[in-house]
Amino acid sequence: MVGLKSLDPIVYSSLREKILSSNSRFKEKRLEALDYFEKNDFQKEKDSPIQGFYMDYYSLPYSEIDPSFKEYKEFDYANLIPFNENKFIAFHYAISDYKILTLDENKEYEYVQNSDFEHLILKVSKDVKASLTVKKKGVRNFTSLVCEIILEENSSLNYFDIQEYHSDTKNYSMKRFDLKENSRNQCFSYEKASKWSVSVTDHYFTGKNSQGVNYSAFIADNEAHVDFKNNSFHFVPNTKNDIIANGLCNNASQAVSRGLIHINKEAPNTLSHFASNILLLDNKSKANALPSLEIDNNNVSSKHAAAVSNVDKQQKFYLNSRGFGDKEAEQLISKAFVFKISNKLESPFKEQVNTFLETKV
Amino acid sequence: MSILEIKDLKASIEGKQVLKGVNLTVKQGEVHAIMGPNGSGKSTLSLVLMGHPKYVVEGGSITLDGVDVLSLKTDERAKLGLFLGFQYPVEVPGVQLNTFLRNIDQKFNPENKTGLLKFKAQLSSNLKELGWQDEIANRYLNEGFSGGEKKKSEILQALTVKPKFCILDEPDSGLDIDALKSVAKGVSELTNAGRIIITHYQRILDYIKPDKIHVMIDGKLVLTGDHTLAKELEAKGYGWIKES
Repeated sequence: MVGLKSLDPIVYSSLREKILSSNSRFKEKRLEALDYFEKNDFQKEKDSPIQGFYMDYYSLPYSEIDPSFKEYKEFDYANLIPFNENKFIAFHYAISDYKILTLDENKEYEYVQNSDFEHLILKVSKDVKASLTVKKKGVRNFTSLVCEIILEENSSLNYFDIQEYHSDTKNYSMKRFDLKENSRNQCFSYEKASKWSVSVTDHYFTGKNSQGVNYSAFIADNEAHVDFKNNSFHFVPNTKNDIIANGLCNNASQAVSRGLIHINKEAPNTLSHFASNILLLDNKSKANALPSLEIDNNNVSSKHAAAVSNVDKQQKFYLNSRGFGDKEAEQLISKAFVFKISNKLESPFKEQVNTFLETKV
Repeated sequence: MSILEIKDLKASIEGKQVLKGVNLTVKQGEVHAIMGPNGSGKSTLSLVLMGHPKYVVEGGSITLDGVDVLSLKTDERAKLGLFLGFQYPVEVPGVQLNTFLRNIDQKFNPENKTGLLKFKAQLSSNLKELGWQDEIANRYLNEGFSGGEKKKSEILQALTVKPKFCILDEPDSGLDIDALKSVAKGVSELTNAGRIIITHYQRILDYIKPDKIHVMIDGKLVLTGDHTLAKELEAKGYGWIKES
């Protein structure tokens, strides 16, 4: 067993050897990433209720690290997320499979994660209106799935991210959208948090008049730990994003929900909102919601709001008075907490998401 | 015929006694109105009947057909046949009104085994009774509702639950004339229920003729009369009762 904080020298040389002896076209970059991982510390995240979330890292059986180096030749090395962005990404870059999916028809696509470390590059072609469901499931020890999603001019995407790993899985998930001119992304992420989850969703608005909607719901149960991040970066004029991240914490779970809105000097007429609410269903669970703003242009509209609360006693009494028992009332309030976000989606995406949520929440 | 009996009920909140010995008997189908000055304990009575956890019952009894209501939890009281129309109904965003009504219909009327189509027809008819379009039922429960709409929502729920006894706390507050008529019509539809209407004004009693009117002062029902008492109270206020 080795820790991810730093690799055992034997493991490190073994991984290095595997990379060198592979047919990977990106050997050098992989080695560079592995070195970066080895030499740098995890970034300390401030104000997390989760003590030691980043620093006291978990162990990873060596046998699990078996990079197969699947690479699609048609696509150049991913560049939307640089390998030295953080320590997780560096490790991920060193050993992941690389896949590409081009959405070039107006239809529904599905992608299911196959291996433990995957890097998916998605491209929505110009003028295409597509839907994509990404499914992340199964029993895994440690896993990371990083998606780079490029929405070309005038394209439109409904992106449904479903994460349901086994509760013991430690995972790092990241998706970053790059929205070109007049493109539109409607994203809903559902996450059943496991023992150790970090989930990051970034929207990069690089094309004028691009628009995003980024709604998400996480459920942290049975001592789950989740760090949920939703960021919005506006680089050009007339872009719009709406982020709502709601979560439920139960049975001594811990969560932090972060959100950053960054608006560049060159991005007037930006409209960007972030809201996050976490509902604590027992008194052993803990949570923080931490929104932040970085605004370099005066001609914009940006709002952020965050709250952590317990089940509202008046709501509960009201439902009790309508014949709902305590547990049933709490379930209904929790369900409502999630559905009030999904119901903001546009049809038919809303119906697709709600049908799924009915079976999960 | 069901009977709700309240005997010498005493209750307090945060150490302050609010109900100081309330006695009231209501039979199924009867309409009772409770009037009285602010702070006399009317709303407290409604919340104690429904088992609000903030109130402590210090004495007395409440029975419904002989069943000890005070020993039951709030949801059990509801299932026994008590319904409270709140003075300030809470909002539950995320729960659509129609889904909620379907839920309580299945909960309270299991013998009906109402099919979805039959339920929708019944809902549509109840909405019409209250002067509402079907679309309102797609909204979240009480969210963004005006004061009047919230009162209508309570009556709509009562019509779905079909309780044995209904306590309506100020169902007329915040209503315009048309809304008042609609609410009164809805309350009149609950013919099988014993209805206790808490109100400050006589105007709703122009549309629903009560069998008895009670006056509550300082935590006790101190005077009982027929429907003419409301007009007298409207004209004279409560001072003369306090003095006598």
